Amino acid sequence: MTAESVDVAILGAGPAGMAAAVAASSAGLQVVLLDDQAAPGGQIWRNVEAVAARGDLALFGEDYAAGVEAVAAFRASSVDYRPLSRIIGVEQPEASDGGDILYVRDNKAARIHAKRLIIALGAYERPMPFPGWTLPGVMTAGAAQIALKTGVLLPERPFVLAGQGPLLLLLAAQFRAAGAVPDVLLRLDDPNLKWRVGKQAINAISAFGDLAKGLKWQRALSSGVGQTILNVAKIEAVGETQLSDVRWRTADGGEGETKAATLLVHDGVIPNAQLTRAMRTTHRYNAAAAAWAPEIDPNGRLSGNEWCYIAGDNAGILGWSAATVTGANAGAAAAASLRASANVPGINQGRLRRAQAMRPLLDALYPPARAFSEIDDRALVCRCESIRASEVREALALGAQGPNQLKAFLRTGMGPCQGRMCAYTIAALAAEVQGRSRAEVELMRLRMPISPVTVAEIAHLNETDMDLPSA
Amino acid sequence: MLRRRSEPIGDAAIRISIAGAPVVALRGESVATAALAAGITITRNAPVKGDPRAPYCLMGVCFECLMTIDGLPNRQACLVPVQEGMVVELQGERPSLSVASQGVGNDG
Repeated sequence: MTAESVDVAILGAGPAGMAAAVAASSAGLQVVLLDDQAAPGGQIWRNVEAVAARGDLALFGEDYAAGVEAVAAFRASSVDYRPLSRIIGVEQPEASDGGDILYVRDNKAARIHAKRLIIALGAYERPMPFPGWTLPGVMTAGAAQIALKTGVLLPERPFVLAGQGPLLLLLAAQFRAAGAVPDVLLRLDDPNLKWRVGKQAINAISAFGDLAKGLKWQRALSSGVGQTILNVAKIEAVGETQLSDVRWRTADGGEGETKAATLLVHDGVIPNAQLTRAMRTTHRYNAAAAAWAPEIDPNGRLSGNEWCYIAGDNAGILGWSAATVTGANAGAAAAASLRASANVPGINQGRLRRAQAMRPLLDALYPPARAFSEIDDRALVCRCESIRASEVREALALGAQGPNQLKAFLRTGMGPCQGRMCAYTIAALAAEVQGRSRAEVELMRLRMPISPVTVAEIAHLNETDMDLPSA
Repeated sequence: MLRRRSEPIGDAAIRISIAGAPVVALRGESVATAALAAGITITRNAPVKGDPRAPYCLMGVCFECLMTIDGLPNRQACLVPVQEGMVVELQGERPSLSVASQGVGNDG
């Protein structure tokens, strides 16, 4: 059986993937888009069609509402959209005629050959381990936002919101609009930082609209909240089989505790680079963003790779508006590389420049919380294998060389999440114990499949291109 | 942990079963949020030490929401939309080996 073949395969139906799909298909290319969700929009515009249909758009603000138009443009395109598709890996070409994407849909693995690949798998919330973060009752603020968008679910009270970052402000405003005001807000950002970022603030003036939006969220955040604790350095979730209390300690030594039914945490977002890391392409550590991202050229093409482009937050966090530009750029560049005569639509680069102007200020204002920088010994850093920070520190002190050898010592990163939840933490602990910088300790090595796959699913590949020994 | 703002009615209501109990879910939501809305706070026990867990990220990253859905174990419940008549089982601390032990015919 010959594998299906297309001009362009796109992974991810968020702002970048949809923009790439619209650009490439309008240039006349045959495009397939694979996404693991049931509906287009990615995480920022999660379930936006259904939310618009039920009249709830106002809860989520104008950035969310912008998704209605983007999703409609995507739906109207000629793109072959395949929701509920789980990517398990890619096979890279030896020549430049493209490569293969392997995915699972309807419990069957399948293979697509594509001349060009655009990876737009977005970002996810930086895992911030603290004692008790595995207790039922604790989840990320982003998870609760998804539950609100898809299931019309609200946090139960007493409700504690803890964390830092611009998205925390947005989430707080959205929960508030939906009728769930935090009883206690624990701010893990450093209140002294804002006095040290004058230079970045001047550079960000060109992104005035975003600044104004941030200030609006900032005001909304504190109004109506039962109690706001500033300068929090450590948090702890307490409970037997589920969350009952939240404890905190501030940087100046203050302590507190409150009853809680729900604790939502947020510590910024990091690129979802699981696939490009498994592809072993070059990744760079961005110290300002405290995150690893694949190295790309100005067109979004993966460094040292002829057929693959990276778009949107997958290549470094810039937000949805910039993602629509880098996505469209990648789609247009892929089209132009395949057909010199491709009619590439004009792309508004101003949004990208504004996002780039704003980012240094946001990175400076919102570094990862101190709770992430000073990881508590009792925190389960590897949730899958139930391994504590203390065990990782002991193994490192015994001579484990780094994240890869720690797998052999402890199995850290070897459970079903494949290091998504612990890779940054393990690298941070190695850097701490070995006295190295974060940039010097590479994240643990990944291998495909990048998500678990059953033998029954793989059996559907029906491969006939294997080199079998002749009789 | 989370509560539904209003109960699904009419076409929006999808009837499934979770851990043997009938649950009315909302069309378009995932099995994971349907379980949370039904008041199921502990959705599995971790396989290594048996400690209670619940969905954490709801976007396919953390693998905390693993459930047995229509007979298939270890599915990410946050990535599976609810469908009428779906049968969902929660996973305990030890994955069942009954199928495997039947297969190898351990008579000893």
